[in-house]
Amino acid sequence: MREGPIGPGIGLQKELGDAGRVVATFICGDNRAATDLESFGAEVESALRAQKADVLVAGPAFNAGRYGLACGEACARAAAMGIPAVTAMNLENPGVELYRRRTYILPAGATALGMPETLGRLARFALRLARKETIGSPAVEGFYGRGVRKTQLLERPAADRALDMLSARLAGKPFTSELVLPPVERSTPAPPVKDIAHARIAIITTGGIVPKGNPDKLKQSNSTEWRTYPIEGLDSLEAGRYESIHAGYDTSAANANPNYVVPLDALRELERAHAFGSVYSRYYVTVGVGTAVTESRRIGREIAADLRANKVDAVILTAT
Amino acid sequence: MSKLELRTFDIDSVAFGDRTTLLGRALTVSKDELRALVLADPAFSAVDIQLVRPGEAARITQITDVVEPRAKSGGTGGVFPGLVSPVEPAGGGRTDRLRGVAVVTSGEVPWLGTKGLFVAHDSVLDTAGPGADLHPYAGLHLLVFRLSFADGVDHEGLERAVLLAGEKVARTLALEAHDAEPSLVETRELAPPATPLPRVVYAYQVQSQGVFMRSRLYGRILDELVPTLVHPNELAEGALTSGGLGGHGAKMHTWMHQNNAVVEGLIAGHGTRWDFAGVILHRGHFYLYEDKQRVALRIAETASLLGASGAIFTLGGAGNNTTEAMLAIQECERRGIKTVLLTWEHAGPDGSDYPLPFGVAEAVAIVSTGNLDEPLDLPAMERVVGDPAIRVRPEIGGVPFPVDGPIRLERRTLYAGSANPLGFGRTGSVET
Amino acid sequence: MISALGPVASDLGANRVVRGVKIPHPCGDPSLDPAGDHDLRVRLVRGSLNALSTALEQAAIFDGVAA
Repeated sequence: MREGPIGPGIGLQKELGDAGRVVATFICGDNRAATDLESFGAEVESALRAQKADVLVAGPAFNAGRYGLACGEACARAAAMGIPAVTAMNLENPGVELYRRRTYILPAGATALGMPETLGRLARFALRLARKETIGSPAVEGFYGRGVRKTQLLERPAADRALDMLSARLAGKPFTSELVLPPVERSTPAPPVKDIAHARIAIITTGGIVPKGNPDKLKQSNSTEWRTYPIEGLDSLEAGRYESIHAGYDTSAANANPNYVVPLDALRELERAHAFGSVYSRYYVTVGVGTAVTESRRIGREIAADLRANKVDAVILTAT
Repeated sequence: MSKLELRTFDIDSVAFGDRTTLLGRALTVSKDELRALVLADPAFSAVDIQLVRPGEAARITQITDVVEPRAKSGGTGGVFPGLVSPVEPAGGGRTDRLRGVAVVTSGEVPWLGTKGLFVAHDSVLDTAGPGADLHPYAGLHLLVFRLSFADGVDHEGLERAVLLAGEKVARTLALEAHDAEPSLVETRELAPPATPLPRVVYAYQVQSQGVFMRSRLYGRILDELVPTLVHPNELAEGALTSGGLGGHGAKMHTWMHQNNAVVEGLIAGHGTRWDFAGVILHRGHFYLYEDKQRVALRIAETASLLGASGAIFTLGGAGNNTTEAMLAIQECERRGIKTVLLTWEHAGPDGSDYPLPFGVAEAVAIVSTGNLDEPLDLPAMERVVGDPAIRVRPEIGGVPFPVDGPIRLERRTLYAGSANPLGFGRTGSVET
Repeated sequence: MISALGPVASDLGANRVVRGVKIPHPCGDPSLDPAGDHDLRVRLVRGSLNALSTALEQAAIFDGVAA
């Protein structure tokens, strides 16, 4: 962290004129930042806390991939802390896809030839953020779409819009889809369980199996929480003691035999046969049915932390 | 080739009176006659009839179905074949419809202890204010039949009774048009276009996975439906009806099947923009992946057989239902059939989540009717037609949610018609 | 993950997927006699243990495993 503007910050200060002051510059090697974005981000957070800034400006990163990731991470952390942030990079920069939902990213050319013009746009946008002005839609303001969508009444009925789109496609004319599916995030498969014979295995289900009466009032759809229930000493889930409250499938089979969704009886049999170490003493439950991906991620992270704390080695997750 | 003469009678006023008659554009409705008609079914213990005129600010609760009055006035067969009329060819001859009035059935359908999927979920619908843009009924006179149910009727019985009640009344009203002067007479026929035009099909997805989440074709439930080809004129006759009393944001009332905006648009463009080859009716939400693949293949093969170059898709539900449509889109695109999907989103309450539960790379043309997860703030209406509280949270036995006065719906699934599944309304999504 | 919609789960990011039976009963089949149904369930769980013990470069779909 250095005081005052450095490098592109000098140009930024020129563009800001008297309206704003670059009080500090955070400098980091792009390799160091991109190799460990987690700790880089943490350092940015402490630095920001020490600084009392109104806005964070990062980059511009143009087409430099590692720089783009670092800018994106820094701005995302700032935004999450309540400090408005903005960066700029080329459409091809991997930082765009990864961070556009978490912070404002302005378009930029592919090389630093566009530096003065980009700094001008960054300065103006930063001032508006600092003044807490209303920022309009990406179509109007020009930043990369953040994937935040609001329902509105458009000019024409949806059926007409759909038929027009069909006409355009049939005629080979250009069309603009109203929805572009975001890419699915994939994770690297975890390494296999080293010693399955001694592994502690937990059951998780999104099938909504709860003790009869739903004592914790687990919601039947749009889930925001998860629960665990004890299965210590149980050889199977007894019908009548458990039920499914899931709103997305016919629950009659699961109610007649909860093991169809939480296969405890089969697990116990294989546990006795030493096919694996032990069944963890509790099972985890939530439901799907319109549950948001962001909620699912949070639920997953929390369950994972609980699994780790209880030294669970592997998980079987049943889905309905 | 199916040729239907469709006569439209615009209704400018509705009033209660001694006898049910249509004079010019004024419809008089006899409460006694219609009450007797409905109560002939022992499933009902009582019925209360109310009228909501266009422009009035009413909140109608616990709607079970909405039906446009239609009746045959020439040719063979009858409307709602297999339910109110015998199973006979539909889509030809002459049919009368009353435009500007709709029959609404409503009531607190007993839950009988169920907690999961097969529940008659309650809904609200406003005829004024911001909610009026979220359904196609705001300009209509709504005759609301508030049903009370007799004891001892099971779910299947309740579902059928409610469906038949609305249809019987709808037909009875339209029969009054027989001697009146129509506002509009159309001949609906998908004649081969004079010049070659691209052939298009409509892949129409409906719900039918069990009681309260059903649709019927010629009166038969569609739980086991293998995709089938239907002529749009059959839809005009009420061959496809609702039966679903559950899940309303996305639910399609019989009125919506009768007046499907996509079908109307395809018919309007037939012979000028395209050659409308037919409707491929299918259900989604199958529980086996192979069943979903079957649906996808049948839709694509049928479209291919018809020589289609384009296919438009709508959904009967989201989540599980989205998979069938997406797989079918994939199969169609692989056969060179260009697709468009009309769907709503579940992008979370703040609109930032993944908008669709499933997708395929081939789904490049999507029209969105907005985010069903967004909260909806509704002002108070001048009156509530039905119970002033609806039931929510069936999974914990049901909790009353008062709906008189201003309300906030945390998600739009409680609001009838809000998913705009057939594209009647102008809802859409704007990226912010 | 045991899921009746194996390819869907796999496409959406689940790396180890065992093909389940049907959405309302992924770990069993009520149309079988109790012994056959239980056997099927044990096979699916064995398949899960197998998947958990298998090193993977990318997502894969597994079947149940007989003894």
